[in-house]
Amino acid sequence: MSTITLDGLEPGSRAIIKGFAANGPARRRMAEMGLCPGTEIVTLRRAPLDDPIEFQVRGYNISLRKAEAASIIVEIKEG
Amino acid sequence: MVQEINIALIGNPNVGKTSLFNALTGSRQHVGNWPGVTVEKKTGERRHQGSTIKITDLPGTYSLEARSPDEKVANAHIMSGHPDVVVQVVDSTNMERNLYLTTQLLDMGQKVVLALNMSDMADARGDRLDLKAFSKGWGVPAVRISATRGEGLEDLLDTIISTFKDRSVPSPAVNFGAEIEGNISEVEAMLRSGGAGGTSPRWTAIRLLEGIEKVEEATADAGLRAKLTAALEGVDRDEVEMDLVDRRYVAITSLLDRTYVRGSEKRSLSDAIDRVVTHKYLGLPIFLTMMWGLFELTFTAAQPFVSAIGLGFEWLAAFVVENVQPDWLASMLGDGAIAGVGSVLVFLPNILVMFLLIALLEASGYLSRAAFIMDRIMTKMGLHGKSFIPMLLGLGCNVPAIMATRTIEDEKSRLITILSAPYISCSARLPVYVLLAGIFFPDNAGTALFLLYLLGIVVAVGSALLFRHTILKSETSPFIMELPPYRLPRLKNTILQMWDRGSMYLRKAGTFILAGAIIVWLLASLPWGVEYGSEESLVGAIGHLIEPFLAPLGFDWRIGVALVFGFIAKEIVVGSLGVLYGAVEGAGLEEAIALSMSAPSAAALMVFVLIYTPCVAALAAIRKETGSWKWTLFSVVYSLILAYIAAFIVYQVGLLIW
Amino acid sequence: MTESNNKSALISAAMGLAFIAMGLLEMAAVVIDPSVEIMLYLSSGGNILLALVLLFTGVVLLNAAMRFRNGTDGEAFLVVGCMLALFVGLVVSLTLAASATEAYLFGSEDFVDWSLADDFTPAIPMMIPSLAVLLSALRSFRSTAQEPAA
Repeated sequence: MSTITLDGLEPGSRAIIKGFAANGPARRRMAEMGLCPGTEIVTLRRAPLDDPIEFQVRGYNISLRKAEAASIIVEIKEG
Repeated sequence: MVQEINIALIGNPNVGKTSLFNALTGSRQHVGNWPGVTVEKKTGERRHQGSTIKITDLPGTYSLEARSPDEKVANAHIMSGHPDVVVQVVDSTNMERNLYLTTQLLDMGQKVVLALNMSDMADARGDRLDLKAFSKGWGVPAVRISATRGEGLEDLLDTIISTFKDRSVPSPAVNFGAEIEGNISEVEAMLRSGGAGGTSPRWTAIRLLEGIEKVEEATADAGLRAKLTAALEGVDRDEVEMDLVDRRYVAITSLLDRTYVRGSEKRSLSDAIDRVVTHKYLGLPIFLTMMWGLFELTFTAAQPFVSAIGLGFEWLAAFVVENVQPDWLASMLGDGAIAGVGSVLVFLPNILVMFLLIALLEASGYLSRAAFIMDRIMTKMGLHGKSFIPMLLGLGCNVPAIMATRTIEDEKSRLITILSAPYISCSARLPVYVLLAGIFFPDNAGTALFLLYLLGIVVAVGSALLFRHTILKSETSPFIMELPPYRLPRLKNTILQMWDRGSMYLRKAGTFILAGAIIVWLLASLPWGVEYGSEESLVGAIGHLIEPFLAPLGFDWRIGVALVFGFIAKEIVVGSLGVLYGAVEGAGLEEAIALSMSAPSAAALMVFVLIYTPCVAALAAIRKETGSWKWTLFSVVYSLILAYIAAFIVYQVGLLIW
Repeated sequence: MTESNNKSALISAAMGLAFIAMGLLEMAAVVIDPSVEIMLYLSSGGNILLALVLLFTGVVLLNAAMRFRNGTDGEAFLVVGCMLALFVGLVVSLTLAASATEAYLFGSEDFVDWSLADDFTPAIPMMIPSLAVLLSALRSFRSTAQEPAA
């Protein structure tokens, strides 16, 4: 099990959110949208210019910029 | 006696709240403005079983605790408006995130009814919900509906009424754990004893603990303030914040685990389309194709209507001039009011078509994909993913461009887009370019036009970057956006939305323009008996007044006057030049201009027209969209200064070259 | 490669080539003298942007054809390709309708010499096969098709 940030994941990967690396208003906003520690998040695809990135979480699709995704620490779900 | 029930309609964006509102209120709705904010306020009513239900549609929000203007409005309304019942529209296929809002409403002590919308889609997917257990779980009645199919509405209305009559007090859905609940109770008690906290001391206590509300806002009483400040000291706001969010979701998961089973998701069409639409190489061209279509339809397909309206106004003006006595009144109406208002109302078809297309794109879900694709480019330019469409529309007309910025939720990005968009050369300026380029640069007319458009884009992007890094400095605003599944837009709702926005344009622009046109007419006609628009009139006086300022740019008094008229609507510039030179448009005017202007001054004039203050209609749109005179004024001043400097440089350099 | 994939690949390729052809014709119309009568019906008078859009639609459809041969996600590209085809056809039709209105109903001076052929392009009748193909392609998603809402 490796610990990395959300922006580094390949499309198709599943991961569990572990926590946030930085403070800031975005952190709260993301949490309210359902990105809490313990939540499963799937990386779907990247925009044509590589940024932002689309994820699936709690049953819906959300897009985050790389910068925001970089502040979310995750653990890849093996298997 | 007719009973009146006040309800507020709330819900996440994209859940079909508007559909429900339309379905419940039909034509009995009214659109206005929340005081001090640009967000629209919709109210309507519905009779049911002898009661009159008054419905206020709140802006779509994900949470009532965050800091965006939409959320503040929603929160403020519930706290001060005291709705009897809050009806939350929920997307049945996506319940977890939707229920977050519900937990907050319960903390506010509000009676809530859940309208589980899109239940037909949930059924199609094979979802199974134990409605009874679900409603019992948090004590919140839930009704399954499909707003677009009109199903379940009667049930919903019945439930609203019975909830209204129900005397039991709603209880919070979430237990935040011993420590935090302890803190909440403590603060709550203080608020109660001090008579503060409004209808929901618990909610106020929570907001104080999270730091969303300041102690000063909660009460004016110094003693209470001191007590509260002491109690709040040592509370780690960030910890509390995250903890609260976390626990809400824990409660949501627990409720859903007990009562809900999600259907299996096989290959979805929406996802398939997305694979193509956001494809690495095909994504951008698809976007450009959509924009091409939008453009063509707005400015070409709507043309006949534009011509029709134009003809109508011409006829009306002629009729008035012939049949109205006395002469001055005929002139004021014909040359002033009708010509002025007409030149702006002529845009109405373009604007309606644009609004219709944007509403369709929004409802289908494509707009969020467009923002997704364009975000990176836009950010590099100091803008936002959703800024692209307004910028593109600016090529046709700045007014719909400015109004299209509504899709940008982030305040600062939106403001920057609004202030930068006017520099994209709109179609109204084209006649001036064509006229001058034709006279002074006949062999390079095409290139001249191209350069002007390019300059417009450069100025727009440059201004955006300037604003982003100086006066509107902010850390790059986050781009957290939901991408809802693609849906087939409902025609009725889309048309209603188009009409909503279109009629506002009509009202506001109409009043400004009418006033402006009459003023210009007055200036051109006074003192009495003077030849319309000649040197002896007031407008001529003004022209001579500003002439010295315009001399360094190579402009004479006539140009000055034409520019002043251009303030009303840029199309008028060429026509005014015709009036001022006493020449007929076409060969006559061209000769007159060729004689009195030079190549450098012509170039300078084109640049000036490109950049100087947006026309009154655009300013009215800016005023409306920003809700502030300050920024509108800023736009005028900034563009005038920029235009002056640019034209000056062009003229002086031009003198050297030619 | 399955039978139906084969068929789909063929249809996509055929449509794709048709759009590429239309795009090229439109490009040609930019340089060729419009008095060549056949050109009038085959293109809309040399609109570069339209040409690019037509070419691109063709590209998407050809892409779909390729993917049917590989067995990777051809349906998605076919669906989007058909939607694009419909979209383009619609835009062109409405533009034509607008011009017709200006010419016949209003007798605007800009449109005195206008005739139906000026704005007509094969993209308009192409909407019919595009719609047919789209509906049949959508069937492969039917079991989880998103229904109209919002």
